Amino acid sequence: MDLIIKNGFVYDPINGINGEVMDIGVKGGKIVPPEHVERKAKVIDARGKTVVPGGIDIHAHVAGPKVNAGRLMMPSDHYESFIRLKRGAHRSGTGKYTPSTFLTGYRYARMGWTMVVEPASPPLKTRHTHEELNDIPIVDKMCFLLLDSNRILLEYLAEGDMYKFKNTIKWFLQATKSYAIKLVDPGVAVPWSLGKGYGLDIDESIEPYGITPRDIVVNLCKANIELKLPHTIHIHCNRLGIPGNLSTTIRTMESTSHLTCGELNIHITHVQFNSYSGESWVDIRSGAEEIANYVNKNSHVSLDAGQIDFGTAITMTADAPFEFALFHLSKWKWYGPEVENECAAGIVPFKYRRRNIVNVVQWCIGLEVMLLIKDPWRLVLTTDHPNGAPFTRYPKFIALLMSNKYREELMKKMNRRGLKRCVLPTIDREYDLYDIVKITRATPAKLLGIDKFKGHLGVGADADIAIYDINPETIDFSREYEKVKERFKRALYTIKDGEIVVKNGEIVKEVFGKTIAVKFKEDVDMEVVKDIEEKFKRYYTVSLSNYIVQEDEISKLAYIYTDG
Amino acid sequence: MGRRIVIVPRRGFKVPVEAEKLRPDLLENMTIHEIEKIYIYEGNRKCKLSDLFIIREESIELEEQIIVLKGNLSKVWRLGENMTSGTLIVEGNCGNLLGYKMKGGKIVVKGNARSWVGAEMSGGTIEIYGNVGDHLGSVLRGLKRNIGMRGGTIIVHGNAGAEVGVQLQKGLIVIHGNTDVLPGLRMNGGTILIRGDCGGKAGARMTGGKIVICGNAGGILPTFYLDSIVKSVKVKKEKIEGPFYLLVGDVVESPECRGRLYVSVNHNPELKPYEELLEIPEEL
Repeated sequence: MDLIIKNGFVYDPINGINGEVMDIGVKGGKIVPPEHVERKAKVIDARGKTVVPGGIDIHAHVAGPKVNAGRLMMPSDHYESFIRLKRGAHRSGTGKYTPSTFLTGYRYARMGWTMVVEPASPPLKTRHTHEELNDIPIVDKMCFLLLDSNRILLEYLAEGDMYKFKNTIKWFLQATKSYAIKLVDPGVAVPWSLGKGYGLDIDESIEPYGITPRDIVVNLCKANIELKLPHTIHIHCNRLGIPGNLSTTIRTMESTSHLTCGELNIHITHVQFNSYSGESWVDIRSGAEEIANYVNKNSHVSLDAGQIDFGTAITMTADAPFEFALFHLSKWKWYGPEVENECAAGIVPFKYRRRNIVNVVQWCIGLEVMLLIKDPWRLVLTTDHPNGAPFTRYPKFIALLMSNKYREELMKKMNRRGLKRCVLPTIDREYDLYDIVKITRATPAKLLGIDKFKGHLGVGADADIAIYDINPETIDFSREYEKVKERFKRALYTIKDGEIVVKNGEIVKEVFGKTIAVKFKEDVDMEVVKDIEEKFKRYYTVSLSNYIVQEDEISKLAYIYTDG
Repeated sequence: MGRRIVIVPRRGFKVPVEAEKLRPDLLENMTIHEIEKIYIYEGNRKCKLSDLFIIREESIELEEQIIVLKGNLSKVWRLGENMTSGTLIVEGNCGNLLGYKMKGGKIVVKGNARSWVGAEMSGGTIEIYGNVGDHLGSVLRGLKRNIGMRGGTIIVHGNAGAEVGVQLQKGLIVIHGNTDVLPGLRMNGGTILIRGDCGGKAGARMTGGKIVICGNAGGILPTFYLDSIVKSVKVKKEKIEGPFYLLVGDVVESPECRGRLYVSVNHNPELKPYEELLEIPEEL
């Protein structure tokens, strides 16, 4: 179907278009110059509206075994929040904090988001992740692979066999059809399998391998560069959620600074959970300034916020010892699975409170990081769904970033002693719409290395477009924050691959997006595969041939090729 | 000023009907014409109330609003949900989630009811003349320990199923018949009175409140201490005669043992050997 979007205010940071009134043509699921569109094409009159690329969520746990366990643990989440089936438009679905797969896709589309990344998939369970990703409608998907505690890789690393190390990573990425390397609290699953590991620091030794988390980070980063993967390593730093972890985060960032000359080589994810200064829970303070200083000075780091919001959340991470500690704090429910030879995980439902000093500090840090970092090309808005808040709160955080008044309004209701430990009350920076489009659309596309066809509205890009009922000439972003929030919550139109899927904030059509995976032009060395097979026989309960996810198991697979 | 509305189903239902809008306080200021236009769901189908039920208005000028439902309503769920005042009378059987989150008023069922009767209620009275299913006066799955039935009274003249009064916080549940296993699971306050027998495992993980079993208790959990033998128990000003074993627990949940479990002496001969534990040895 051909489309032409007329006279909208177009924001497209990758092509440097800042609020110009333009026409955009869509043909065959791609963006074309408006004069190439047929005369009969459907016209969308976007006069006085904002036209932006479809949003990209770089870090949201939407699929995989631990999300499924989160769904089981929160039955109340499902009978309190649901949508009913609408024939010809959408299916039914339940859940607010861990929504069912269909509802996940619908909720993203209604906000104007068209792509989501599942950031932590255990290699052995990636088949399950793909099954769930296949079910998520409308949005495009990809998944990152957890490789930090993989026993086969750690063995090669301890032996110092870097050729095999590199080829094994390549084999894992190919076998599981995933996109990038994710590290969660590097190496922690090894001591955790012995019941230890809480607060493992970056320079502590991991027994019995005799290596440190720093070795894992540096070597995976090196391998990442040599394999020319489109995304950098995606790292959740050591000592997450522990006061004083600021220094660990800075040391993690420093550890890879020598590997490239200023180009991006590390992505620190949900940095809010990793920027606590102070020594204990009693004197916890915000460390956002130090993080922002480092990031402003060094150009090799990118990060996403991991903002929290007050209310219920379900923390789920592969950082198992931390979740065990959190379970003792929340005294409610805990689920602690372990995947053989690969990683462990934990799931704990949690409630962030406005009156709690620590929670207030956490809330402030996320916003501080986003406001203090000057370069929006290395910063992404996330809530680490569902750890900090569900992804449906993005409109709220967009309004908060754009309005100092709204921040002040919310801070009135919070714990004063908590606010004294933060710098947020003294910051009066306000984002403009151009920067918001950067941190939600253009930057994630650039960081993921898919900016040729996603995250912009230039000719040749995928026709993923969101149109919001916002007139940037008349609206006052800093005062009319309620309106901004409302308008971002429900897109006027969402267009996915040239099809109108959302109209006036309601789903009108269900389409299915692609699953993007990385593919290497060179095959993996057969000698190394034989070696891996040997290790599989020794360690795993599954055989190597059953481990590989076949191409026909993924409904719409799209490859991105690299030379590595 | 209220009136009496009689509602009769037009046919038998095969799929659940979600009738959360059939509550006296909501219908109080509506005309019959308006009531007929209320939409409810039958399965996944949205339909008007008048499509499923015949509605008629009887004597006007009553002191309170009364709704009378007649016929087999065992597929009609969520009757009287969130109701705050008035009376709902069901002359027949009724379905799941009767009086869910009820805050006041009165519900009378002259037949049997299914599961989840009076779940998370905080006031009012429910009286059932027949039997009820599982989870009487309890809480939906997965909620925090401080959520549960917060007040009000439930009286059942027949038998009840398993898990009566899960996470009970306050209020009274009286069962004149027998119950299945696990009455008072995780209960924190309030009272459960079982006139008949119990299936066993009474008061598992309880941290407060009172359970009285006048019949056979079906065995006592090993996490309870035998405290003493009492002659009678008082439940809401009513004195219940017959010697009772007083057990305290559950010691696994809280070492303070604030939960009290009264078990009839006459109907539980298997507990007789434990009585010697009550006698304090002379050398102490």
